[in-house]
Amino acid sequence: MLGFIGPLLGGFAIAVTPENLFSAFVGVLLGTVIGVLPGLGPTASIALLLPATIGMNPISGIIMLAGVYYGAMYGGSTTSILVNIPGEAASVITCIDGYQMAKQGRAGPALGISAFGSFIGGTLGVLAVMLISPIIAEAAVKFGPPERFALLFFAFTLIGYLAGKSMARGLFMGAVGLFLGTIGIDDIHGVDRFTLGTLYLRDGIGLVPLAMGIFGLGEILYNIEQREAQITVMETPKNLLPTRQDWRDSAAPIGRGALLGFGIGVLPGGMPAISSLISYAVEKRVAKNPERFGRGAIEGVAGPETANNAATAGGFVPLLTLGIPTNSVLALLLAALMLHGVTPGPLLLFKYPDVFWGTIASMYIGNILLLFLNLPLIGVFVQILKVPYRILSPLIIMFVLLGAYALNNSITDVLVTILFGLLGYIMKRYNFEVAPLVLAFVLGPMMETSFRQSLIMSPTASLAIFFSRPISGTLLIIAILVLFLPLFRRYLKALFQADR
Amino acid sequence: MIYIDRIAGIGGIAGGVSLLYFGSELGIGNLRMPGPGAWPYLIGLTIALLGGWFLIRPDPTAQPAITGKSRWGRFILALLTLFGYVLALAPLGYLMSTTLLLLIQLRLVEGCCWRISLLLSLSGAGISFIVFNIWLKVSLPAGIIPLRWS
Repeated sequence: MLGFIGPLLGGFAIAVTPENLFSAFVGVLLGTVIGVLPGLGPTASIALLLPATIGMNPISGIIMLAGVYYGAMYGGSTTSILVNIPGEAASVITCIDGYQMAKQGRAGPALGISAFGSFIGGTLGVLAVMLISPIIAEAAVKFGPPERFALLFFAFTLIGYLAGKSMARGLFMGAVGLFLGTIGIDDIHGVDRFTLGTLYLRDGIGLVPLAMGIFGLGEILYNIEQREAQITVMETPKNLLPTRQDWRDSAAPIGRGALLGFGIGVLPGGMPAISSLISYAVEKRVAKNPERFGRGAIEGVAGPETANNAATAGGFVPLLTLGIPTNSVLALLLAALMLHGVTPGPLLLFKYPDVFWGTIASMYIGNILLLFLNLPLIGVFVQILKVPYRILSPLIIMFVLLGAYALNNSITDVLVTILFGLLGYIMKRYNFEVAPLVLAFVLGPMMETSFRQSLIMSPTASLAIFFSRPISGTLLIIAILVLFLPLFRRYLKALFQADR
Repeated sequence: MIYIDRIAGIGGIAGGVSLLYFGSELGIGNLRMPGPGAWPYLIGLTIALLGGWFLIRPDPTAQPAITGKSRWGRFILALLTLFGYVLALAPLGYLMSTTLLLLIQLRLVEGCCWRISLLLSLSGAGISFIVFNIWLKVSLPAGIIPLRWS
């Protein structure tokens, strides 16, 4: 049980080297700034920073990008509380009670409890990642192609289910992502597929131009067409420490938020935004006076803020142990690992223990850094919020295009990024979820290979191989149930209404 | 938003059927040895079925994400500038094309004053050139100004 202590100490030895410590610091600082700035989420930012990590060693690069991710979760709450505009999706729910607290002159305790809750959620989450990951990795080593396919198929259906309001739209975008993933040379037969006779497409579409276009440029184009009202920022609060009563009210929501957030984060499609939403609903349900929610209840800030940070940590379990990203940010981290020649999956823990334990240890350090950064620097972040978006947006465009070019010194990559930017804009404007497309694009090639390998190794040359093995059979049955759950629910509802 | 679902539905069916065709052209193979077209064929089937679903049951509650008045003129100008940048990058080089890109975006798209637009476009292009070309050793297009320090 305590076998992790040795490797963890080794991880700390890696994480505290000046280079890695600096990477963690830069990552969490950038992440916080990105979280503070509305309109630039962690996915777009990681996509922008990916090319910059190529020159770094793999561990430093991953430490920096992971820092951006969980740093953004901390920073996102600042704008939710002070200006009622979420810095990123996971902080949407914090607006409800956080902003009300700020209006009542309690912005300080709201920001304070949000930072402490984030710290506790993030740290407990990392502790759970450390305890669970080796067990899952050991079990996953025994997975064959049918189990891998079933797991990926299960992930795909959950992504469609959890990604937005409409499962059909989520699955539709996922299917488009699967198609984009087929472009290029077929690995098994060596045949060109949908390359339009071009040399560029033979290697397939790169994840970085796709993600930078869809998330980064798409968001900016949307903001150019639909400019939101000017932000009015509140003054920097003086006292950030919660009172004893605040702590008493927040202790249980923080505990529940950590457990709930981690559990949701581990699931495919279990994005931090979903965990904060569910945490808020749970807190409202268990509260003695639920009517306080929406009027400045500190529990409505403490629970969700803890949950989204715990979910962020939870997402690292499937990424590091199974090679399955559960959301679009983790898909980019997967791409980053691959760019550095590290293949995430069950063998990562055994083949690259320094990457695994170095990243885990850096997350402990990063969480402590964030606590010390967020509270004293809140005034600086409030000032950043005052930089007009009309000045930021052209500069972000420049970095998107420069990042796309720098990856392969290719102007075609710049063009592809712009085309995906246009697609991202259309999807955002017409409420089609972007995340399923990107996730399916990443999972698709793995799914196809496992699917074809399973059939090739099947003794009866039939699809029965997927259902005759216990793990793959169970996963596929659950996936099929998830897929048809909305239809079944609708049928039951109609039946119930007809009875009445 | 029913019309958007219908457009997506028609697009889905058209795209899905095309994938079914190209998938079978590539070769579907059989269950013993699936061909290179088998997976695209399955994806095509999924897309076509979902497209059909959108046509039959469009979501009447879905709304476009519109927060205010659309600024189409600025949007089209921004888009044209981006495509123009791709065309200008090789002949004009990174420094000149990026300065122009920033100047147009800041002055014409975002409506900043000339002074700020000029200052930010020159400093933005210059600093990014120094960071990427000199510090990170990225070979940026030189164009008609062959600056090479790396």
